[in-house]
Amino acid sequence: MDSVFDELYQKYHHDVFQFLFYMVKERELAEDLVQEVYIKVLRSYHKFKGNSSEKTWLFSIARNVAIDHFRRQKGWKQRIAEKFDLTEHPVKDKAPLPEEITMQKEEVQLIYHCLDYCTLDQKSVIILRFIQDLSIAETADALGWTESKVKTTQHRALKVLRKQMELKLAQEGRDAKWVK
Amino acid sequence: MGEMNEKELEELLKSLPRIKDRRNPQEIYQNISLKMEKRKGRSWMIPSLAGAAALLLFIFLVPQIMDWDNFALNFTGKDNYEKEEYIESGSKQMETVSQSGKESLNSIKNGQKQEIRIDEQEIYSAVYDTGDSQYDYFVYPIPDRNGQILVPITVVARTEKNKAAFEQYTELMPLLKEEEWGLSDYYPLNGKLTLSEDQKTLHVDLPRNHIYGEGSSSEHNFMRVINDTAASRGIETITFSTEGNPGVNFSHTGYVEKMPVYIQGARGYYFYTPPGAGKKLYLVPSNQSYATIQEALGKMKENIPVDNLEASIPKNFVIAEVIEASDLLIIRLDDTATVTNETETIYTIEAILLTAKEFNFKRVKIENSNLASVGKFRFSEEWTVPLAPNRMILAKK
Repeated sequence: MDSVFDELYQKYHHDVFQFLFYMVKERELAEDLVQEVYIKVLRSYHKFKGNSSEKTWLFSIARNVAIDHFRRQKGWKQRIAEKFDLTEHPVKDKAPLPEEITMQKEEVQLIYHCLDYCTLDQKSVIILRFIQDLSIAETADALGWTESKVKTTQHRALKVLRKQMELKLAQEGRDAKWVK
Repeated sequence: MGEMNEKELEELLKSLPRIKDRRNPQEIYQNISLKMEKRKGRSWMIPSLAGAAALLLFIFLVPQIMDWDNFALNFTGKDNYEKEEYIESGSKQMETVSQSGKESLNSIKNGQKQEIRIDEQEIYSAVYDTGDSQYDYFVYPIPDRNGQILVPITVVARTEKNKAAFEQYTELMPLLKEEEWGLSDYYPLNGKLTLSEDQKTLHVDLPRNHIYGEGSSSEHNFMRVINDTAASRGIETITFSTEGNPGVNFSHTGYVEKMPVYIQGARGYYFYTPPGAGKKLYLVPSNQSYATIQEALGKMKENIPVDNLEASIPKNFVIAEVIEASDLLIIRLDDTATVTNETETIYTIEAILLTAKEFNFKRVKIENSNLASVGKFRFSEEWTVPLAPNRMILAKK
């Protein structure tokens, strides 16, 4: 097997897959997209100059692949109708819940749903920071942003999530748990 | 309503479950290969399941040491001829045909002469662009006698008008003197190679009892040779047939009809001296590819005993800094470095140039050398990377 593929698979496959999964929230789609990432990487691996770490480089490619997917998904009508930049607009999912999620306690399931209220940028930061456990610096590297943009976006994302969580919990009359 | 604790929120996010890809790497790799192939926009039919399975088998049967990543056909032959020489290729039986020219095996006519260019500067191993369009270069991957590595050998020949380059490539095959060069007798191939008109597909037709089915080593080497040949010529797909019928059976790989050309990542060049071949030194790419030029240059100071490859950069060639300036690679030597004025240093430089080429650099400059020059390499200048390694001369055969 391709030694580059083999190495990348061993080191990063599950991270990249998981990132894509949380971006698109659909297992099969994430499976397709992760392949897309490899194709891009295998074609350009020799150009990778090591300016960033291999891992953040892969995440940046994965994110672009996800964004491309969302762009393709939107019809031209929708695109014309939409004045906003896609990355600043929430993308909602309708895929069935994967069993890994359904097995979780309710709050975890709720926050999983609340991710849909984040923009793609916010979602990227949340996934990289809290699910992939990247540092601010690594996240900035992967997204090609400054650290301060990561921090601001993270802050805004958490605000959106908090608001949605509170809203949903309130609807269920369970907000008491979250009161300080 | 109270405010949610931010830490709690973060903890909640951190407790989102790990989601794993349930497929195995083989399956993923196969999907990628097929996709990459389809993406190339040709009207090929999707390979049959059997073909795909065969490809998979092949991919996994290639042992690590036989790593067929060796696609770049780079060689450092140093041969010593001072003048132009002619080879008579008339009596050679050609096993390869160029479809585009619709020429058959007998395309080398009796008495026809192929001119082989001889470089006056006999020391240099690699082939450099002289801007002379009358000559073309042809790279052949040739297994060493143990079948462990593929040595890329380059032959320079006068361009023949009205003849496709690939045709000329196959016609030169029987003229290669592998054994004399200390390598294994490999050409002409026991089969015919043809190139599609769009030059994107290499077709391999083998006889029913072809010799590449005997033992996994010969099979793997054949696949590597074919793949490297295709890769070095920008071919994207290889198709197989047996005496004109689609598909070939290999003992290990099984049935194969078609496979995508595998493009390996950038590798480093090492020294290889075949036993008993008059100390001929070749520059051979590693089986392994490296992520960065820095890594490659570091590794090139160490031997790779398993492949009989020797370090191509001596220990006293201490590199202080490697600077990537677009397509120019600047290697700054340490003050403690000593560059010795000897032939081997020329090969070290050529190994570095060829490695830089692998990483897509076009020029290389070595700074802070204790010498002004070694051979034609002046340290005050930027050097253009070579076209190919291991130039060998085809003398009369």
